[in-house]
Amino acid sequence: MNDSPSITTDRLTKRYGSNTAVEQLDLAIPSGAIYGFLGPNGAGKTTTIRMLTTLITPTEGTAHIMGESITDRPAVIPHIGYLPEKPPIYDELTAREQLEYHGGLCDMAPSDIEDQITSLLDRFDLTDDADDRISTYSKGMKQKTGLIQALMHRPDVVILDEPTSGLDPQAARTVRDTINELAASDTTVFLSTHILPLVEEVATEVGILYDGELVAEGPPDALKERMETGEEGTLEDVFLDVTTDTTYDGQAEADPSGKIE
Amino acid sequence: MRIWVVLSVLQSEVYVMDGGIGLRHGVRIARTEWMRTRRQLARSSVVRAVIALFIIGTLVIATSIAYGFGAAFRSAAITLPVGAIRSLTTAVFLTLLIGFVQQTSRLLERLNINHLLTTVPARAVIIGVVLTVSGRAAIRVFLTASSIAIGFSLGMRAPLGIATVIIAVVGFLSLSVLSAVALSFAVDFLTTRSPRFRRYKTAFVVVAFSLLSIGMAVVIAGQVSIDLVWKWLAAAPTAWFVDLALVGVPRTSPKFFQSVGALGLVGIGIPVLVAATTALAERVWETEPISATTTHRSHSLVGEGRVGLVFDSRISQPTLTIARKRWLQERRIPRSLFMSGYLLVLLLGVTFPIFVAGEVPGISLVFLAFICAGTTGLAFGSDPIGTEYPSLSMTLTTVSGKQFVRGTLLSGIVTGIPITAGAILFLALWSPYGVVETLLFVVAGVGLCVCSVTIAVALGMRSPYSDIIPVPLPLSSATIYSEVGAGGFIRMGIMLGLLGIVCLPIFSSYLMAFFDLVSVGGIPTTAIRIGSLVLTTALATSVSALAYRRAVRLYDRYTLS
Ligand SMILES: Nc1ncnc2c1ncn2[C@@H]1O[C@H](COP(=O)(O)OP(=O)(O)OP(=O)(O)O)[C@@H](O)[C@H]1O
Ligand SMILES: [Mg+2]
Repeated sequence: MNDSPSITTDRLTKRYGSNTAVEQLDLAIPSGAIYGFLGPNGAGKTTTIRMLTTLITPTEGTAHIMGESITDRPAVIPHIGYLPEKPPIYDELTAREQLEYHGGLCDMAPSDIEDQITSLLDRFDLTDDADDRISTYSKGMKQKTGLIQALMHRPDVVILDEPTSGLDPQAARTVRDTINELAASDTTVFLSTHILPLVEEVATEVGILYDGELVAEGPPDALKERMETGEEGTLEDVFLDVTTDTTYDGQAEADPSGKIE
Repeated sequence: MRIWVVLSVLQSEVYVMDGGIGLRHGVRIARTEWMRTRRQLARSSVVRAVIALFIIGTLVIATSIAYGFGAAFRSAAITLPVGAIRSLTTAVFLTLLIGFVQQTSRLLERLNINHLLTTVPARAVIIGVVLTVSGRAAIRVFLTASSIAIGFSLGMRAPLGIATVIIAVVGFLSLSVLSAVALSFAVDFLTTRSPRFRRYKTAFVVVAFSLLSIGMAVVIAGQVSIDLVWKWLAAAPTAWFVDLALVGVPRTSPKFFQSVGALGLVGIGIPVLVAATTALAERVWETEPISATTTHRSHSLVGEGRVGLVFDSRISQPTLTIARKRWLQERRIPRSLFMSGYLLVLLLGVTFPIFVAGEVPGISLVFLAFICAGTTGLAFGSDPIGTEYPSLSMTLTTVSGKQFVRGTLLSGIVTGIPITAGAILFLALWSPYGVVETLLFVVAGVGLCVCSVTIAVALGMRSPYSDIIPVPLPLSSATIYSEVGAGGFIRMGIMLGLLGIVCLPIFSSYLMAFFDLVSVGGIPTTAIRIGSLVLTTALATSVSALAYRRAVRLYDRYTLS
């Protein structure tokens, strides 16, 4: 793992009208790191990812991927591989065509495209269906296609928004192993997910987003120890602890109006 | 035994009650759909007020004009062109039918059918569909028709006319909406049931569309007399509604049998159509669509192959891949085919001068070049966001604007240039022009093709991400993504307008030549013609360069918000 950060954000903020989706986010993720990006529904994970991938412009603040500003799309995109919440694939193509399409767009050598497609299809157990139209695929098969597409061109930074959604346990394990391999080859993985055990197993660093703000950050082990109880908790305890309204506990009785609902 | 009787009576009771529930749910479905449409269009209150004012204004004007006609008719100053109205009625019926079929299949695409079917009876869904489709018709057609009817009848001092006209309009509309919904389910039924229909559907659409185009061209070119078409239209049963409407209007002579026939059509047609629709819809919804698309075959998008061999060395792979994917998409779902219909009307500009001149005058070639280039632009350039939509987040994060725009351009010109050049060369065989001028014409045509695709892409890159919605391709079960509302049409108008400006030099010079002007201000028209061809080519080149830069910049800055 080398120490020059591959993803940095500086007071990154996105507002939709009066609704703040992401608030003053500061991140510095070294290359080769596996960053587990957690947060309840609507916390702002997807919004952050869309800003990092240049698909939406921040309201305030800046961010850099491999030193390139996210306002400069042509400079950023050679470095990233991105799997959005909904896999970006065409129903009327077959998986093989879709992947060849992507490889062609990334300007990979045709032989390399074939090799990568063959090995990744095989790894994700999709070889038998690779020549059927994507419109006939199950949810998990589509997800696998999108995942292969995000990885096949060997980007420096892989950004995955809920990569295991819809996958069977076998495929989820493949995803876990693949992520570990990527990190071993110095690829940075930015992983948004709700599957805490996955994060616990693979992440070198975890950030928890709550209501657009980063409320906890650190290596999973350090986070688990920081629990107020002093005892070793699970990541789930930490998650629930930092993402519930702290003003709620014990304050109902102190409410001046005295109303208890 | 007795218990069965009780049960079945209970069941029929439930059935009757269920009818009410069906209606209630149907109304709710329709109301929700109207709300969704309103929100999707997201018109500001100002725009809505302007539209409302415009509609009210139109209605008032229509009513007063109709009043004037009514008064004139009463004083025997004019006679009613009943025959023409009959033909027009059938023409309107066919137009409405096509429109409503489109609306129905679009609606069925939008509705969350599986959710609805697991929540309310199928009948409620059908009622919802019918109400949604007829709701818009009610606003548009019914208001116009009845305000004209009221104006005319008041002018005639024949209040009974208002009643009969409105009865006729309501009957006519119900029949057209219901036929459209039934027809649309029938197509769906064939698609889900017959693998053959499904497999050849694309081919079927292509053939049907070509036949229609040829038919139009034949009529436009004057090979089949318009009168004959007009007579067929007037003889159709849908024209009977005119007789029904005229029953309450004095000094007309509606045919008795026809007006009764119209009532009969409504009385028999509505129950039959409702029954047919229900039966078809239930069949469609309870069968899983059979999948004819398990082709087990992929086409190569990179590396060798015909396209690869020709272009590989000269064009960067990402650019080429964009174009190859576009062609593959076009093979599977021929969306650009439907774009080729728009400019067909301009064929008149090609054929008419030929009939007049007895040879192929330059002005015909100008129209031909415009049609070919414009169609290429519409087919391959317009709506770049819509064609990319399902995988847009990948495309934007993978290729640069330069590669994307070049690839799109490539897909268009490789398809369009041979057709344009070939068509011009072919027609030029019968023209009086020399080799040089003909070749310059071909060059100008090529320039126009490039220009039209680039303008279309530059304009199309402006359609906002949130305005793209799934739209069913007519007559097929395929869905494409396209812009909601008038935006797409406005862009199309701008594009054709710009292309028209680029064509202006050749248009004016060949128009002069058509009217046998030998020289203008001492300059021989031959020189003017050659000069105009060069000028148009130069214009096309510079406009293309500008549009290209604009398109690249727009792509690189395109965001999903
Ligand atoms: N286009 C938009 N317009 C308005 N508000 C939006 C838009 N996109 C997102 N938001 C708001 O931003 C907030 C964050 O949304 P985001 O999609 O980033 O959440 P998330 O963390 O990805 O949630 P999930 O775990 O459910 O995927 C939400 O409150 C959402 O309502
Ligand atoms: Mg999300």
